[in-house]
Amino acid sequence: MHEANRMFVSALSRNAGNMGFTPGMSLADIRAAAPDMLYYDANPMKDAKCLRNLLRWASRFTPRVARGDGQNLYLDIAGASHLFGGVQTLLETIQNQLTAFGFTARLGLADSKAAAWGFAHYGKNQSNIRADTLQDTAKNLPVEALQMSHASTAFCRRLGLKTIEALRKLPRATLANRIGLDGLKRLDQFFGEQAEVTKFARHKERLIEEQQFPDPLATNAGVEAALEALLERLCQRLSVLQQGVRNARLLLERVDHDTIEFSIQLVRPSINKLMLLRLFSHHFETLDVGFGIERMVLMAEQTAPISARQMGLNDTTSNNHGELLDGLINRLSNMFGHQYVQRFSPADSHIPERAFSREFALYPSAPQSWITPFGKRPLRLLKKPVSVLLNDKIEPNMPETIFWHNRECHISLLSGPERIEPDWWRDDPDWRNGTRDYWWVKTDFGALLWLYRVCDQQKTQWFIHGLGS
Amino acid sequence: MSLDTLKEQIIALEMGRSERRVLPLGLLAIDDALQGGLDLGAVHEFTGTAAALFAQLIVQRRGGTTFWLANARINEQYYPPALAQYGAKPEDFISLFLQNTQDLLSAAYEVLAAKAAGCVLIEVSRPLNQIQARKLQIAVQDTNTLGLIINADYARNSVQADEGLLGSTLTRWHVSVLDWNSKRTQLKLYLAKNRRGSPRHWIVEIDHATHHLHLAAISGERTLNPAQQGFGAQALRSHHA
Repeated sequence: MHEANRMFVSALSRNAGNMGFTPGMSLADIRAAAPDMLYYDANPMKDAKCLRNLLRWASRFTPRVARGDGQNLYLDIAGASHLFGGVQTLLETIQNQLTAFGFTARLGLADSKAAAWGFAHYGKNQSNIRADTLQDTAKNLPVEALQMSHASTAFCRRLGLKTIEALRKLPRATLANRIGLDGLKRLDQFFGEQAEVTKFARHKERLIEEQQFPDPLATNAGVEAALEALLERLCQRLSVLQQGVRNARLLLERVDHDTIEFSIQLVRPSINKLMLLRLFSHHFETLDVGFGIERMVLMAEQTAPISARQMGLNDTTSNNHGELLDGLINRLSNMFGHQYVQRFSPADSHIPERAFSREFALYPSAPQSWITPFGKRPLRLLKKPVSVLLNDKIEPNMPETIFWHNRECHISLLSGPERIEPDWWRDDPDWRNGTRDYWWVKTDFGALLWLYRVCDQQKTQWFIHGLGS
Repeated sequence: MSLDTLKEQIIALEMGRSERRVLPLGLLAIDDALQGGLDLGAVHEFTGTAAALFAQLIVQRRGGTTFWLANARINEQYYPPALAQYGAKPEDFISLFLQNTQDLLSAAYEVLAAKAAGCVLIEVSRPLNQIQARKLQIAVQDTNTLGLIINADYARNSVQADEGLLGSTLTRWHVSVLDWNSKRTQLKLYLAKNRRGSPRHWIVEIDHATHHLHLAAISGERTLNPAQQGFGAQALRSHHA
């Protein structure tokens, strides 16, 4: 960590700690003592993010998890430990999983938050302190375990009050004068005699609805009816939150433990039960319930605020129309895959095929205005330009007849040339032949063609790139 | 009740809707031949070398969101920057390219019936059969959507091959480019099939500055001499017979 031109260490590996270094020492000092020490820049942001993720992970053990200062996580496991095979097993599970993630962790379990902290930091790892043994086991903990202010801790040390036991022996009245009311409060909190506020992490409401079926659902109609009930519940919860479904996923667990998964996406967040049902039921054509569905889970994976649309006085039809259009885009996107339903937006390029971009209609962006290109562009562009000469012909000048759609046609020049240079900064395989000259020509049977010529050292080639009609 | 109103009502009944709605093309001669304009809630078919160009003009007149469904194997595709150049709004287009004709048709039924689109452009690599076209017509008939089937054939200028096909579309147009210069494009329109009247020819011009359609010449059936006009002559003969 940098501070005023000085670099000091914020954290140390266990080995480094064993060598007598402590956090807060300047890097220069440590390097002088141990020149081959590896060091990395601290990244508090990343650490915080990592802790946040860990916190979320910890919520698998109990819903009441909190972050302390520094690198501490608090889990309130009251009423949760039996689900994981008892307190000791739970501690081991947590330790093992954290080790598997690559973390070094110390655990402490006690009846008060302060005591848990104290034992985790200064007691035996995984110490599991019951209320009746707290007084005994806490005897030998150092005063640092109380998390008093630095001044109070240092003061105690100076007086030779090294353990909690030593502090406890002193009469309270005099103690308050020595370590302050604050220190006294910490001591009380340690033994659970005074309350300590914990701010548990707020979980995002999980928008999941599920249903178990004692009698497995054996028909598609049954699944659909059950889904309708789930959607009803989900939509009700969402309407309270003023949120609409953007992405939703449905899991169907079959009796034979096969899970079938469907997901839907919507162009605009919606809590319209029937619309969502219709999007899902489209998938049911391929549904094989097997021996029956015993569990259904419906998750709203992504939600967004529902925008209350302004309804004009005489504008009800257009509003209704917008909803119909959204519904249609949703259905098509879910029928064929959202990547196939596209809108166009302008792109800034003089290369004809790069002058527009495609975007998914499901994810609309603000419309941009189209810049009219300088030259006349073909109404229809060929995805692949078509060579118009028979293989062995080489024509530097405009050919009089071309070969197209299995027939020969005479062409006459209408306008041109327009020269288009490839982007030199981009290696486009289609443009490797270099500069193109474009001409408009008309064939004898009434088609307007946009022809181009590319020349390289050996030969000149002619291609059709577009049509004017 | 006037005869015209009665006619309108019969047409509406034929199409299974309470009221007939049309999109006038803005050219009196053509609108008269169609008894007011292109029927909304119906499917129309466009063939010929300039089918895509003419269909795009109708899309512009209709407005609203345009769904463009195309077989992904078709090499010729609308080019959005040029659509803007031709006066259309590329941002109103929603495209759906699918490999498989069956998928394309099921998408087309969905879009045509949804009442959300102004126009639906359906591009197929080969003409639809009667059942497919009929299903599209049934899907669209309760809406105000215009279904446009484009079967552009750039290799042929003749209409002969189209004659045998009796699709279930309300009209079939054969469109080709007659002349082109920097100011205007001249198109030959041949209304090969017309439920509302007889087949007709027109020569129209698109003004490149205003993107408007003008009538350049009327070559109505009475002035047409089948012996001189190879183009569409067969159809006219069969009509008279």
